[in-house]
Order: sequence, then structure tokens, then C-alpha cells
Amino acid sequence: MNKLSQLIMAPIKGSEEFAERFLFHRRLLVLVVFALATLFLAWQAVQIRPDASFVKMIPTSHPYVVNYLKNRDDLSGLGNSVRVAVAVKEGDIFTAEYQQALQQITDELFFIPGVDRAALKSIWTPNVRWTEVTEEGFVGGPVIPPEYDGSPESLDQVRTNVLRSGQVGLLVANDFRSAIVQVPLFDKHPDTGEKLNYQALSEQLESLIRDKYESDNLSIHITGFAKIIGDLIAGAVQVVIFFGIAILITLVLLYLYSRSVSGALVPLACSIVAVIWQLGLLKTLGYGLDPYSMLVPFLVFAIAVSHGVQIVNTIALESARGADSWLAARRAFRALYIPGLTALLSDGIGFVTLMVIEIRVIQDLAIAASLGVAVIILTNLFLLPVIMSLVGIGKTATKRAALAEQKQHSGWQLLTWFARPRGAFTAVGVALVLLGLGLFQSQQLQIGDLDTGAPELRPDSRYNQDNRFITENYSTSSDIFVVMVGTENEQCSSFETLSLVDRFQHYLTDIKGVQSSVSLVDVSRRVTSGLNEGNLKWRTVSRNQLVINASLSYVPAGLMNPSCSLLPVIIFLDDHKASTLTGVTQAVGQFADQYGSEQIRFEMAAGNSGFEAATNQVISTAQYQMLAWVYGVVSLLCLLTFRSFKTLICIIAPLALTSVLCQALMASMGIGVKVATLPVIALGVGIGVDYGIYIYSKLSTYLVQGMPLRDAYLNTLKTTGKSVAFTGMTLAIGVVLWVMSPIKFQADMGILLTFMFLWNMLGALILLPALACVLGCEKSTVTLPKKDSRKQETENAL
Amino acid sequence: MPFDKQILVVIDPKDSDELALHRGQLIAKRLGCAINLLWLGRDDEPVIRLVKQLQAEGLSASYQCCMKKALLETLQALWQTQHFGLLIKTCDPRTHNFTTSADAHLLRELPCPVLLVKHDSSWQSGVVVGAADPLSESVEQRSLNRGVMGLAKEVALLTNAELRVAVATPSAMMAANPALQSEAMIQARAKEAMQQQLADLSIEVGDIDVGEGPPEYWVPQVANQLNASVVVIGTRARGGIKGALIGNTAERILHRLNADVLVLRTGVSDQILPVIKS
Amino acid sequence: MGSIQLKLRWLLSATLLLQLFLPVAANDRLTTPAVKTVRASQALLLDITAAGQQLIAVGDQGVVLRSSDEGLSWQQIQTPFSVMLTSTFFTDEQRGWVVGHDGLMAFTNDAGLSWQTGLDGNQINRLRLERLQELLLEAESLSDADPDNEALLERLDLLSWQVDDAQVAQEEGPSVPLLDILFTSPERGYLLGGYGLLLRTDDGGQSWQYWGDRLENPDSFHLNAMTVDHRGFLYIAGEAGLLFRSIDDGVSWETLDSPYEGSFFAVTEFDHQLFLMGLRGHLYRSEDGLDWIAVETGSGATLNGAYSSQDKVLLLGAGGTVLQSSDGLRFKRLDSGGRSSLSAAVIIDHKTVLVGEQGVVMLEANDE
Repeated sequence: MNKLSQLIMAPIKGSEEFAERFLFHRRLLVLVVFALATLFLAWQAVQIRPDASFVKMIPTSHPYVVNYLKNRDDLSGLGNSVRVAVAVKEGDIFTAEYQQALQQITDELFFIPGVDRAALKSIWTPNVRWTEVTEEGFVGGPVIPPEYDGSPESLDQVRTNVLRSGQVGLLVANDFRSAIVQVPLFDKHPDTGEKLNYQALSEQLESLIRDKYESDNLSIHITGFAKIIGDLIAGAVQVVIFFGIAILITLVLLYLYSRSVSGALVPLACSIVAVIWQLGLLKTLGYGLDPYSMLVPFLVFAIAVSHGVQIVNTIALESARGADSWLAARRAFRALYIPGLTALLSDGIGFVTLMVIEIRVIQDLAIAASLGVAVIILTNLFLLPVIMSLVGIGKTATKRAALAEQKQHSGWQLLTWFARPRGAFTAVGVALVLLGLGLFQSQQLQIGDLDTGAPELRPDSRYNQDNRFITENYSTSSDIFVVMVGTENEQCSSFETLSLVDRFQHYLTDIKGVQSSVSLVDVSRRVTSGLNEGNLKWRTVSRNQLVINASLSYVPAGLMNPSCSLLPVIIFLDDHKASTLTGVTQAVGQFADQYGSEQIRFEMAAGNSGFEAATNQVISTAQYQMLAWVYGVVSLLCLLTFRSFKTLICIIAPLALTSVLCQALMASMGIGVKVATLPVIALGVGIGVDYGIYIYSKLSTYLVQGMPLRDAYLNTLKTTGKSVAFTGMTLAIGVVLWVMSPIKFQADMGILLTFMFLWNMLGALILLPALACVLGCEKSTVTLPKKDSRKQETENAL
Repeated sequence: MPFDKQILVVIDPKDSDELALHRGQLIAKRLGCAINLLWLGRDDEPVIRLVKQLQAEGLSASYQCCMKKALLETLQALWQTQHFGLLIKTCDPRTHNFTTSADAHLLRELPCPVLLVKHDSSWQSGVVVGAADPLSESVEQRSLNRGVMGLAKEVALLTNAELRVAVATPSAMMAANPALQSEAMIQARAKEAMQQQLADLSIEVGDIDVGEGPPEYWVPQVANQLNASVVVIGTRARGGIKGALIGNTAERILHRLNADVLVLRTGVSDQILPVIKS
Repeated sequence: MGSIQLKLRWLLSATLLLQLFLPVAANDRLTTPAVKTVRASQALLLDITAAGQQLIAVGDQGVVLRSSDEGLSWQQIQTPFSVMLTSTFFTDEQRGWVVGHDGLMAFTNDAGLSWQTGLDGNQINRLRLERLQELLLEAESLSDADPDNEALLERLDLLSWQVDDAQVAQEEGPSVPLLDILFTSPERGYLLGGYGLLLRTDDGGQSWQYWGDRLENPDSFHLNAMTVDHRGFLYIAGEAGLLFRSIDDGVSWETLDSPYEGSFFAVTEFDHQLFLMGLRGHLYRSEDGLDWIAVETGSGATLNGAYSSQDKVLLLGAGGTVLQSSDGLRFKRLDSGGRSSLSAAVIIDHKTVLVGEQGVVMLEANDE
């Protein structure tokens, strides 16, 4: 292993000399190049736009989604739609004022870009009709009659038509106090190919509809995936403000810690440059920011700061020993080169492995995070020392560092208990107990959403209030699971197909969580009954194909495709909780196994709940895959760097404990593992490994000289440990403020990240040395010539 | 390629101190070799006078004129015909951040040793400091070390000066090989290695000054502390892109030293000694 | 006949014969057992009846429900079919019948705990075709005997057409729905269905004869409901105002003048009066079955079914309509608790149990 390690590490070590000489001999050139690059990338970065897309959120190679994408063109309005409910506070909807407002709103929505006009539905659109059976047969017409004039008689007619249209509970509330406009959207316009601009759409919905029409008597409620994204994007401003506050806090604390203006400003500036580069590169490569990866820039900032602080701290120590700013910076660069590079490479490669998860949003996040970390190498490992070599750290900081090295900190002294056998075993024991508790609690970790509505937003947010309103007053939920029944061409309306789907829909009524279902079969049944004077005894699928064909002479859009080879069964669910979705997919799978065939295929799934079911399935395997990859990469790099399995355990074990406890925390907080929260734990590993590598590197420089663990540990604490503790605390303080964010997603992440920052810090400071003691990492691997060892002792004693 | 027993002195008419000239005179007298003056100007009247002066002192002297900006080309052209064993020039104090200085170009392009003069005091009974890197594993560096130490020893003998060695060790790197993690250990190793190499060359020194580098810091530190008269240092003479990016240590220490700098180019160390040994 | 024509006829018959023995496709609802669901009592139910103290409700997807506690709780009985069941009738506590789409008729001998298929659409098609072919041969010989008789020729035409129609129906498969069943005695029973279908049994359901030719129904309108009055007269009501009466126990049928041109869905007797109802809430009352008087109920919703007991008659209809009367003259609207259509009702121990679009609905105890 040593040979292999040397083979792989040689380029890293070789590169150090080159990098060091170049950076410190050509400082001005370096600064100019970096400045130019920063300007260019900043210009790119400010052009970055939110880039949300429905398809990016779903696992595109999962069989459900593959089936959906295959049939996408034939399934209008089932992918992405928004529902706008217009409600009266007093009275009912059958008033002239209300109907006028509803008509105007329908028209406004018609003209919003991105709306699938042909599939727009409200009682004012011509595709919503009433039917009735009379002695002469079927009669019908649009719900709003052509001669409507707002008079009381007209309104009465409308009321009758609404009752006869079967839209009560669908487009008209059960209590007749509100009506819905169903607005299907094009994720990608079929003619122009342009992508849906979620931000613009949401803004238009707010300004053109809500602001314009909400009044004393009218309230507007809007739900749908597009609105969630729009609200998240609108909330991005808030998110940025919280980032800003965190950055300010970091700056202030940095100054207080180092007592050096340059020591505070320069790392902060370099970290911000890293974020600018990251965003600029993303834009250059053609990516945008989606609301779920809006945390990545802050993470990049956090990781950059923790590396920056290490370097500044080392510079201060070198300055305390008398070096001038150029020398101090150069020595610090060399000293921290390997641990810094290893940590960042393992972060970067670790994040790249998230690409194995076949969900675009997560893959984009993987790229963004890896890019960010790679950029940190340039800004904080290279640029930062160069700038510090020019500005120096300041006299105050130097004096402080000199004093600190001489003092015996009683505070740190306490912690050294953990480096002695008794303390070490206690610490490891406690860690094992916590591990057990964490594993136990994390059994309760759920995949998918645990609540109704949009969990990314607060329960009292406008969106969730609107969602509750619609769920309470209408019979169709917004949780839609579509089973695509595929047949050969022209067979979707055959008796065999329809009667089997009829059976399927009956079977579905028994599944927990299924509210109701709609398909071509319902049309056939009702019209067959209608063709026979509305006789209930005829409300079934006729065996006579001619009767079937007659019953399907008018089919509303979306219930079959033009070549009659696809028959969607639209299932309305009570909610989209993971347990509900699992139950539904299992039940449908059982039915498909038992009754499906080559001629009549029951394929899942479309509809937002269908995608969520697919996503949940992918995530449940993905979360372990992802952790395996990240830990694998990180472990490999640590192993190659330190060439010892014991060291590996010392560094990785505290990380693993943090991961398990974080999962337990998510379970206790009721946060489900979803696309948004999945990468959090992997990102936490990336943050934590930095601490472990720095601490262990420093520890081993003392151990290698023959120091006993306790002393080595104390010295480590006084130097690197201090930086780690500072960084952990500062970032935790910065992030804990996020719990006040109106975006619940950010608030949840705030809590999880605070926990991870703190726990990683504690793990690196306490558990790592404890493990080192327990595993016996004390033996140094280099023997010194005898006469010099005496010199060593006198040196150490000083 | 063999070196002629001849030294070439570059004289800049604007240089009032005439450091290079004086140093050249002293060395030529000591070694008994011919001295050639390269006058950076058109008017050759002053240089003709100088030549007459040198001849008067018993030295074989000659001169050339050239334009300042054509210095490097002239030297290279000269080299084709005369293989002068030493080039002496006053050290140009300017430091450059973006471009390579004229002195650096000389150090890179010319195959002969170059002496850059910074002060006027005699080297007699002073301190000669040789700068070497005993920890390097590169064959080139090892031979350069040998050449530098050999040359330093000869100079010390000639000038009756104390010979010292400055060894700059690399700073400790965390998480590197254990041997590289402790500064104390590195220095101990370096000292041991240097002693071994000196013993191989049968050179005795006053003391080996081992200190934490980089060389740009430590060598001037030692030289200034000891008040050295001359520092002998080797150069890898990197040119082109490598030279532009990372440069050469010898070029980098020029502005930090008070002593004269005698730079030995890589690859010629074996040939130069016979010239100096007289 | 030429040899080619002979061969063609042979081929045709062979194909027809073959179709008789073609197995029904896999998953065919005639032969696939009904799906058992927990929420079966909320499925579309079309008829309900009492079998002793048990209640039996039947409906869509082959659902047969049985309750022993007067409708409070229901168990779904396993059935070997899953077609929509439209009507049920019990001749006594143990023996009962159910009919439905695709010509299905099934029976039970153990008070509804288990059911067996008695007839299906294929058999019915065959019975119909055979009977019509018999009649055609008779008519052919009669016409041959009297070639100039216009009436006979017309009848021959009609019968030829009906035979062709029956053959086409047979090729199409078992597609005729049965809409009602009535037994006037343990042995004598009738099945009514779409497109003028009528069958009669004299041996308690073991064998059936096609009886539709006895009704004057040239347009093959649906026959929706049948009842027997206190005099033993039989009445059949159907689509487009069809109304038939038989006073000789079903042997011959006369077409009555209908008070309405729209469909009748139910006919029943209460307090020695006949009630006829159907599309758009039309309701008619008659003493003798010949003169009908319209009854004003104030409701325009289609009436689907009726139940008469000793002291009251209940009419069930669309939009949650429940009309009750104790004298047959004035009808009061009861609150069924919703807007879903109702199809049938039964009163057991003063409890009224309704069935319809949303399954079983218990009616609140009302005051007269």
C-alpha cells in the first residue's frame, strides 16, 4: 500500500514545489490573473437565473418516468398544472359580480405564457359542458349558456347547468362558494421549445390574478407545483438575506478571533470570490440555480472559510516566530498544502459521486458543489496566501499568537483527558452508545413527504393555506397518480380494455389513500347510461362495441390519445405521504401482475404523485448508495494520504457518527428524505472531513517526533484545534439563524447544518484523539538518530 | 566545453561605482588571466583609457563596445569565439515582477559562471558562503552541489577566507512522509547529508549553517549575518515557460544579498575548476 | 342449391357453431370472480331485497352484499362473476335470483351465501335464435300454404329480420343486459332485458324459453320493469312508454295505451292501485291498468325504483329523491342526506334501507 500511496501522492507532493515557487515568485501576475478571472466570472455570475424544471426533479430513468416520458405528448395537463380557486366570502358564486370576475380571471390566465390554452378548464371555458337526458335523447351545452347576460334568470340557468355538469366537487366547490380554474402548463412549449419561466409565471399569477382581483368579498387561492417553485424562488431573496447575515457574523467573529483586520477580511473575501467563481462557472457551463441547490453557494463559502482560517492561523504562528509576511505566508502554504488539498479533493470527488443518483436536480447539485470545492483550491489555498504575503497579518495578531503559544491553556488542558486511556475509552463508549441510539432512531426516517401540502414552505404560508382551502372544499385532491393503460392501436376503447379498466377502478376503491379515480371508462359508463335515458342500470361498460363507440363520441381531452393506444387512469389520492404512495404502487403492481397482458398493459406512472412515488423509490436506494460513494472516496483519499487504517478510522468514525445522528435528527424533526434533503448528509461529510484531516495531520507531526499522545494532542488543540473549534462555532452561529426563514426548507437545513457543523467539530476535537488513543496511534514511524533525540527533548521542553 | 583563462567584465558607463571593473582587476591579477572589457556605449575613448590602465598594471587587456540593449546577443556572439571562464557584472538592483530582469537573462543564457558584484570591499580574509541543497535527490543538483562547493573552496583558498556552507531546508509539510513532517528532523538529516557530501569532496568547513528555508530567505540570512564577501550558488538556469513561471533561486536572492554573488550554471561545474585552480 | 352455396352454408354454420363453443376470453367479467373490497357497501348498488331476516343488495362489478343486522353492517359474498347486477328476487328465505348485464342470471339456495351462474348471454342468444328460427319455419310453411296473404308475408319479413338480428347478436356475443326478474310462483318466473328480451321458466329456473315474440315490440325497445297485481295480472313497462299487460298468466300479452312517451323504469302496486313511473319524474296511478292518471309530486327528477309495504309506498329517484306516500295520492319528499341517485329500497322492521349511486344509505326514522 505504501508503494501505491506514493505513486498517487507523488504528483500532489511534486506539484507543491511548482505551485509554491510560482505563486510566491510571481505574486503580482497571480493577482492580476485572479482579478481578471474574478471580474469575468462575476459578470457571468450576476447573469445566473433560476432554472427550475419539472422534469429535473424526477428520476428520468426510473421505469415510471420512462413510461411517462414515452407518453408525454398524449398526456396533456397531467404533468404540470396550477389550480386557481376564486372564492366568495359571503353568499355563493351565482352572482353577476362573481361570474364577471371569474370570466375575467379565466381570460387573464388564458394569455399567460406557458399555459396550455387548449386544456384550460373552468366553467367559463367551452370544454366544460352539462348534459342531460330527455325523451328525445341527450341534450347538452356549455355550462355558461351563450345567451348569458348576468340577469337573475341567467344565473339560475348557470346554477342548473353546473348541477347537470357533474363539476360539483371538481371545478365548483361542494358548498358553491368557490370555483376553480384548472391551468395546465407546458414545461417546454411544444411549438417554440422555450422552457417555462417559473419565476415569471408566479409573478404574473400574483400580479395579474391575486392582486388584481382579491377584494373584500373575493379571495384567490392558488396551488400547484409551479406555484411552489415560484414561491421558493421569490423567497430566494430572503434566502440571500440570511446568507448575508451569516457572512457578516462570520466576518465579525473572524476579527474577534484573530484581532487582525487582514486576517478577517482576506479569508472572507477569498471565500466570497470562491462563491463568485462557482456561480460564474456554473453560468458559463450553462447551468442555472434551482431552489433546491440554493444552499450550495453557502456551503462553498463555509468550506472555504474553514480552510482560510487554517491558513491564516498558521500564518499567525509563523509570524509569531519572527517571519515577515512573505515568509510566513510561504511557509504556511507549504505546511498546509497536503491536508488542504486532500480535504478539498476528497470533498470534490466525493460530491461528484452524487451523480450516480439519476435525478437531474441532484446531479446539478453535485456539479455545483464539486465545482465550488475545486474553486476553493484556487481561491483559498492559492490566492489567499499570496494576498496575505502582501498585506501581512498585523502586529496585534502576531503578538497574540506569540503569547498564546507560550501560555498553558487550562481550557484546552481539560480536553486532554480524552487523550488518556480512561478518557479515551469513555469517549469511545459514549460515542458507541450514541451510535446505537442514533441507528435506532433513524429507523423512523421516512422517505418522501410526511405532511400534506408543500413541506418546503411553512404550514402557515400562503401556499399551504390555499392548499388546505382547496382540499377541504373540493372532492378532487391535488395529489394525482396516473396509471397509463397501454394497448395496441385502436384498442383502447375495446370492450376487453374498458371492462378490465372498469374492474381496475373498482379494485382501487379499496386501496388506502385513494380518494377516487377517473378514466375513459367513466365517460363510457355515464354516456351509455345517458343514451338509455339516464337509467342507472345501464351505467356500465356495454358489451356491444357499437354502443361503446357511441358512448365515446365526445371524449374530454386527456382521457385517451389520438391513436387510441393509451388510456390514462387518473387516480386522486388523499395525500402524497410515502406510505400512501407505497400502498398504491404495490396495489397497482399486484393488479398488473394478475390481470395485465401484452395487449393490455398497466404501466405506472404519471401525475405529481406518480413522480413522487418514483422519486421515493429512487431515493430509498439512493441514500445509501450516495453515502457509500462519498465515504468510499473520502476513505480512499485519507488512506492514500495517511497510509494507515487506524488513521482512517480516527478520521472517518466521527464523521459516520455525525451522519447517523443527523439522520436520527431528521427522523425526530419529521423531515422526510426527499430530493431536497437527500444530499444534506453527503454534504455534511464533505464539511466534516476537512476538520478530521487537519487535526490528524497536525497531531501526527507531533507524534512522529516521539511526543506522547497527550502532549501532542495538547499542542494540536492549541493550534489547529483552536481554528477548528472557531470555524465550527462561527459557521454554526451563522447558520442557526436560518430557522427564522420563511422558507421552511431553509429553516430545516439550518438546523441540520448547525448540528453537523457542531457535531463534526466535537467529533474532530474529542473523538478523533480518543480513537487515536484507543487504537494506539502513538508509535512514531521514524526513528531519530540518538544524539539528536536529546536535542529534540530540550527543544520540546522550551 | 573548455573554458579559456580569460575573464570578461561588463562595464556600464552610467555606473559610477565601477564595482565590476575593480572586482575584475582584483581577480585577473590574482588568477593571472586575460581581461576583456565589454563597454556598453558607443564612445570608446574612456574604455581605451581603461585598457591602457590595465595593461599598465601588467594585465593582458582588450575591449569591445556594444549597445546596452544588445548585451545578451553580444555576449552570446562573443562566446562563440572566446570561451571566457568568468563574466563579471555589476548587479542590477531592480526587481521585476512581470518580466525577467537583464541579469536573470544572463544567468540563464550564458554557460559560463557569472559574478554579480554588489560591493567594493576586498574578499581577502572575509567569509565565503557556499549555498547547497544536500537533500535533493536529483543528479543534476548533486553535481551542482559538488561544483559549487568545489568552487567555493577554491575561492576561499585564493582569498584566504573562511569557508561556510548555508543549507536551506524545506519547511515541514503536514501529512507528508513522516520524515518531512518535523522541521527538526529535516534539519538533522540535511546536516548529516551535507557533512557526508563535503567529506566525499574532502572539503573542510568552519560550520554548516542549516536553517529553515526557503533558500531565498535563509541564504541571505546566513550571508548577512556572517557578513560574507561572496556567496557561491548554483543555478538550474530554467528558461522559457518554466523560467517565466517559477524562475531560478539564484536570480531571486540577488536583491536580498549584500555580498557578491558567484553563480555557477548547471552542467558546467566540472569544467570550471581547472580554470580556477592555478 | 349449388355445391358452392352448400359449401358456403356449411362454412357459415360451422363458424357459428364454433363461436358457441369459443371459450370466453381470460378476465371476462362473466366468468371472473368479483373483486372483494372493504368499501363494497359504498359501490354503485342497484337493487335490494329481503330474504327472511337477511338483506341482500346487488350492484356494479358483481357485488353481492348480505346483511344480518338490518343494514347496519354488510359482508360481500364471493361470486363467480363481476358483471353489473341489476335486480334481485327471492322466492323464499333460501332460494333467490340475481340478474345483470351480459345476460347473466345466477341463483342461490342458501339464502345468498353462495351463488351459481344459471344463464349467460350466449345461452340466451341461442334460446332466442332457436325460438325465432322455429317461428320462421312455421311462418314459412304457413306462407307457402297461403302465398298471397299480405299479413303472413309481413310476418314472414319481420321474422326473417328478427332471425338475422338474432344471428348478428349471437356473433356479437353475450351483450344483452337483463334488467328485471320476477317469480309469480316458485316455478313460474320471468326475465326482462334490453332490446325487448323476455324469457319464462316453468320449472323453477332450470330451463328457460324465449318469450319475447309474444310482445308487440317491433322496435325492440328495452323492457325495464315487471310486476304482478292482486288479481294476478302481469304488467311490463319499458322504454319509450311501452306498457304491456297479461291477464292469462303470461301466455298472451296486450299492448296498453301508454300515458307517456318517455321511458318507464318501475311499476308497482300499493293499496290495490298500480303506480307507473320513470323519466323526468313522471308518475301515473291506475285502478285497472287501462286508465292512468298523472300524479303531481312536485319533483322533476327521474324515478328509478319503488318499494311498497303494507302502509306506505316509497319512490326512489335521481338526485337523492325519496318520495313517500301512505295513501298513494299525496307524496312527501324525504331527506336521503345527499344528492346521489337512489335505485331501490326495502323496509325491514320499520327500518328503511336505500341503495343507489353511493351504495347503502340508511334513512332516518321519520314521522308520518
